[in-house]
Amino acid sequence: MRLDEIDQQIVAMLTRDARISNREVARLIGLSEAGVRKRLKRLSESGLARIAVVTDPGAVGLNAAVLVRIQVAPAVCRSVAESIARLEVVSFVALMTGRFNIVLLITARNRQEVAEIIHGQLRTKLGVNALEAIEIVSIAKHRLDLALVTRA
Amino acid sequence: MSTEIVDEINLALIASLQKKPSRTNKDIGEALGISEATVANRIRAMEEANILRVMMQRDVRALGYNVLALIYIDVSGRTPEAVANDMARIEECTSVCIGMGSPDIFANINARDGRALQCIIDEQISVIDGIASYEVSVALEVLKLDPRYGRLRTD
Repeated sequence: MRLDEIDQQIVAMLTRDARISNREVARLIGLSEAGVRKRLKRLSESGLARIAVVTDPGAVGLNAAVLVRIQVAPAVCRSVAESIARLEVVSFVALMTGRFNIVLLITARNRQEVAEIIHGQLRTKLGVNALEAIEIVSIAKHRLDLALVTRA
Repeated sequence: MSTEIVDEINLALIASLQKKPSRTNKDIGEALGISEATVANRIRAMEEANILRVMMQRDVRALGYNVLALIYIDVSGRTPEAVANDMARIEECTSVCIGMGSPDIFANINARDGRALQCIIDEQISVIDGIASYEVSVALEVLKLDPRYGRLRTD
C-alpha cells in the first residue's frame, strides 16, 4: 500500500495531535468524515502508521534507561528474546547480527530496579552467556514521528 | 520540574489513553469518576508541559527503510556530546544516545538496503571528527518496540 497525498496530509495532521476529531480532519482537508474514517482504518490495518500515546519517562517517574546487549546460545536465542519481550519494563527487543545476538532497552524507576532486572531476569536465563549494559545519560536525538510498528 | 503535575489521576489518564488512544474524554471521565472537562483540562496541561503526546507514528518501512542497524561508537579527542550532535544531523539516524563508559554513543540507522547502509557509514559517519572506532550490528528482527516512552521536551 502506498500513501497518497491526502493520506500524507492526514498523517501530518495526526502526528501533531492525534486527538483531533475525524470531523475536524475532514473539515481541514475538505473530505467527508466517512472518507477520513475509511482512510484511517486502511492506514492502521496496513501497519504503516499507528496512534501512539507517548509520555516523557522522567515525568512519570522512570529515571533510568539502559541498553543491554546479550550473547545467547543460538538454540535458545529466539525463545529468550520472546520471553524478554514479555517483560513490562522492556520497551525494545531485537535479534541482531554480531557479537551480541539480542539487544534490549530497559526503562525503569532507577538504577536499582534496572539492576534487579538484569541480575534477576536476564543473567539467570539459561543460555545467556555474556551481557553488557550501557546506561543512557543523555539523548541527542529521538524522532517520535517515525517508528517500527510491531504487532504485540 | 514537571513531575508534580503527574499525580495519580494523571497516571490513570495516561494508562487509559494507552489502552485505547481514541477513547473520548467523556468515556475516560466516566471510568475515572471525573468530569469530561477535567479530563480535557488535564490532558491539555500535560501536553503543554511536554509530558504527554497522542500522536501518529509512521512506520519506517513506509518510507522505504527496510534495514535497521545499531551503531556503537567510541570517541576520542572530542566530547561524546559533540560527536552525538554531528550524528543527530544525519537524516537516517532517528535516535542518538550518549552512554556512560564504552561505547560512548549508540545510534539507530535506517537504510533502504545493505548498500545504502554502507553509503551512510562511509559518507556520513566515518567522516565525523572524533570517532575512534565503531561497531555496526544489523537488526534481523525487531520483536518489540513499545512506543510509550519518548523525550517530548524540545530543549
